[in-house]
Amino acid sequence: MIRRLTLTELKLNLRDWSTTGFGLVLPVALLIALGSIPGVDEPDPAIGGRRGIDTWVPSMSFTLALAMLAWFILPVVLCTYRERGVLRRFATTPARPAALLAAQLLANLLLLAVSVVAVLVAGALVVGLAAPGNVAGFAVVLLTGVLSLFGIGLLMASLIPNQRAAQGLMWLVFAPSAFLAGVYVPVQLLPDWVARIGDFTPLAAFRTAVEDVWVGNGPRPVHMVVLLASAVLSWLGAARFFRSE
Amino acid sequence: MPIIEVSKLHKAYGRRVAVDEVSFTVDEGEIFGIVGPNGAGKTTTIECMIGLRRPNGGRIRVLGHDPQTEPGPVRDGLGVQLQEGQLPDRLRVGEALDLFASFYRDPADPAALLEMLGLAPHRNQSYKKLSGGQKQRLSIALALVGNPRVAVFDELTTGLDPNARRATWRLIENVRARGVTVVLVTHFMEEAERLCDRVAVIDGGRVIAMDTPAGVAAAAGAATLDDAFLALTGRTIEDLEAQS
Repeated sequence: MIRRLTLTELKLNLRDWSTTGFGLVLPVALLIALGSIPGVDEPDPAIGGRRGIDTWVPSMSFTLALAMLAWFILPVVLCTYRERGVLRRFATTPARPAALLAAQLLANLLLLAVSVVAVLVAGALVVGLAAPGNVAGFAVVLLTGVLSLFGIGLLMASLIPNQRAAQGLMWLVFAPSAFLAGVYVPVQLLPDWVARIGDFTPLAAFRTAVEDVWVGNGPRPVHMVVLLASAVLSWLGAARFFRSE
Repeated sequence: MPIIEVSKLHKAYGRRVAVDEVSFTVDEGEIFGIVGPNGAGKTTTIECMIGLRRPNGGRIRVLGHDPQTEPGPVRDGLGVQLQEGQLPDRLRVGEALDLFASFYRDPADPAALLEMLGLAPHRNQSYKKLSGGQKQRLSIALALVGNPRVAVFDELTTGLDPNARRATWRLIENVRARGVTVVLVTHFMEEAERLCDRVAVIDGGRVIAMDTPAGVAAAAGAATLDDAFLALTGRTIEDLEAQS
């Protein structure tokens, strides 16, 4: 049952251009565009003599892939389901709303997996992206990032009543997070105290942690604590507040 | 042996009492109507009956089970069509039937249901593009795909034109002919008169009459259910519609 439901949700998400566009095409396109900037594969004194292609280029792609699926697609779909009575319809069947929620979550995780692999492969083939220096570290950071950001997406889907509000409010969550994560302006150009605030926000913590493991270091404790703490709190909150109508 | 028993059901939302001491039983194989004006407590009654809402008091047994403490067998044996319960826009008719069939232990054949409800030509159409009548028929198909022993239909024909309404009535008679017990919620007295073996008339959260449609009318000294409602309450359903 859950397998069929997950495949159905996956199909439904893929029929929506915004999922394919923002979840799958954007991260790869962004990686290729950023990775093609002249000089991005040369040591850059502004970031401690490291190369952009090893630091902000891959971390930016993974951050956007995760944010699009966890903070836009998932909560908007779930709020639409609640608003339109789809969750209520499921509550009268043996499948229950929880099964639909789980299936939508799994479908987005599958999309994220495809997106991550596509970025790795397209990056290696087109712009000479290296594999992460610390592979185990990358796996751990990706997993905690998934738990944190999808938890926040679920919590927001629990608190937001309808589709329109979901689109607007998720943008309000995303815009400042993306700023602190260096999506608009590179982090090293931000004042120190602003970058410091970013260390304590999940999206920026995730992006910086990806950068750290890509160059072969371990993630910094502060980033792991922020990701794990936000994961625990958001999942508990979502379990407490989620309603099917 | 009744297939559904509701006794002294009580449900309040805050201070507002929606359902007050409602009792009725539904026998296997009958079409049982819950009729009354909008806001009378009909929908709340069936929401408690199918386990969507927790009653504040009273006793409910559906197929011998309490919908709150034993929801599993209740959900497996009930097919429900709700007033407000839509599907994802991009889900196609055939996919919806196959998906819902996978939820049940002993599902009906989705292809045969599509045929019976005249939806076979629309198998690949997405939900968003269906007409109101087609959505209604899909909703009936989904209520029947689990091979339920009881089908619950809430305001099934509201918003349908007279032709579609009569076609839906024939469908409900077909459903009963397959041995399925039907609980029909409606504010349409003519519909209840035409289809139901017995009706419970609900007003202000209470059952004010319960019998065959002809019996309810006769007891109130009226010729039709509409007139019976007027005789029992001093108001017509149309008055109440106009107010709401």
